[in-house]
Amino acid sequence: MYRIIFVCFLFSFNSWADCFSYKMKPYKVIRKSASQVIIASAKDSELSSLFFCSMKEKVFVCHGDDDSGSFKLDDKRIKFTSDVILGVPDGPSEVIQFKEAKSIELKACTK
Amino acid sequence: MLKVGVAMRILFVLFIFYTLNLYAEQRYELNRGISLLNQSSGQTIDIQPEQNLQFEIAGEGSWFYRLRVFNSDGTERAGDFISAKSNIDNGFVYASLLDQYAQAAEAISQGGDPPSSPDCPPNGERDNGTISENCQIPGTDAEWQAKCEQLYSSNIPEDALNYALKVMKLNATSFRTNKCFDSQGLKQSNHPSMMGMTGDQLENGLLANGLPNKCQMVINDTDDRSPSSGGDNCRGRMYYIDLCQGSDAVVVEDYFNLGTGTCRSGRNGFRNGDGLHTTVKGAFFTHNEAFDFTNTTTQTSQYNAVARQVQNAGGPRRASAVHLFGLQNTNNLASITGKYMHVSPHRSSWGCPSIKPENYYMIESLANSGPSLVLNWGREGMEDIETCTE
Repeated sequence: MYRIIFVCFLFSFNSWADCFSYKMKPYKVIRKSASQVIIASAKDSELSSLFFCSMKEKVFVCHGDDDSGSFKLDDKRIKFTSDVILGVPDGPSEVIQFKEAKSIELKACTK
Repeated sequence: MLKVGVAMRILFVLFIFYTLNLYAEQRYELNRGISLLNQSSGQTIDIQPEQNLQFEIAGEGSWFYRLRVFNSDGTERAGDFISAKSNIDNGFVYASLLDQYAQAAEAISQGGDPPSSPDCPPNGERDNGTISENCQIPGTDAEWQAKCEQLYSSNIPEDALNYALKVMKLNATSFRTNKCFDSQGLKQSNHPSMMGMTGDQLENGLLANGLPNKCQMVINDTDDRSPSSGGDNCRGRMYYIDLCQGSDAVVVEDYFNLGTGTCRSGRNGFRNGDGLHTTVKGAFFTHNEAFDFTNTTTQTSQYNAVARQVQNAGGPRRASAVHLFGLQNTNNLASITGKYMHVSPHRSSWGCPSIKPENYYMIESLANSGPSLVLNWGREGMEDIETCTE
């Protein structure tokens, strides 16, 4: 039983390990480390936010600091659970609306 | 005739002193609960009438009576006990009568008429020299309580101060406001702001004996918007309080940044949600270790500059930040949504009660002596702290 769980975990983790960034037009989803993901605007690299993720039931659950929003992520799909905001206070920012982007397929994966 | 009048007055004074002497040996019982400070041990104890203790007044200071405490079997408790006069006057049977006699004796000895009734402050006014119940917090000494009382003369709104002190008192010796704080989840222990700590370690380790830091705390008044916010309403009034430095209470007034979801469009109010950029109201306890906010943001160049500012001001080279654990239903998402108290170069925030870089020492102090109390307060929308207290 434990072996099965371990193999499942390895499979899940490896599918992440093979893929460092995803295309989600017009945004870039960049996996910085095992638990950190950056979402950046494709138009303006200054518009980005850092999210911290933890594995829950084979899905990464990610929360932004400074109230930047939250989403769930696996290797094929990103599912927003709140508005996600890129940018900085007092500066330009961009909101990915929760209602308009509840679930978006990650089109491609690049290293 | 004059001699008879003088003799009558002397007799009256002697009578009063005789009566006082009787009362000095009088033992009293309680008609309501009071707090006593044992100066020998530095501990404050709460006593209830059901304990059937008896008391003798052994002396007095400007604001307190010194007491001898006797168990129900007549044995005396060891210790050097004092309690605020307001406690005794209201809590002891006969105590107010004793005060009245003392005032009468003093007035007569000075050649005046005895007062017809004890002097009582009008409702709502504070009597100088007394310690309010809010300041009688277990684990604090008489000096701390006197400084606490001074806070009522500062600019801190009285309701905000009362709220903060109530949170401190409820959690003085054990973590009692524990019913709501982690129901929505906390950050993972491997997050840079958590420094390896888990919720269990916070609740059953750091807070096992109650809130450790009774010296420093922060009260943010979300209603008092500073004009220094540049006209966009995004700065509120912050009070940094230190009750352990110097001979008087220290209150530093400055600003904290509000979340743009609250202060710009205002459409999100103070909602406790994710991705809303709101300031959230309620009481928080801090982590006991500060961290570098640069590690949790993509604004690396901006916060590296802030870290240099902190270093130039005499602090460590980091953008000082401390994790906040919201204790109430109105703010318990603060941990998982990363609403920290941190230094910031901005004029607003995305929900963090951020402060100016020169005030880094406040964050470092709250963390080093922590966990500490931070309160985001407003006249409206404050949840009763008892709701989340066991």
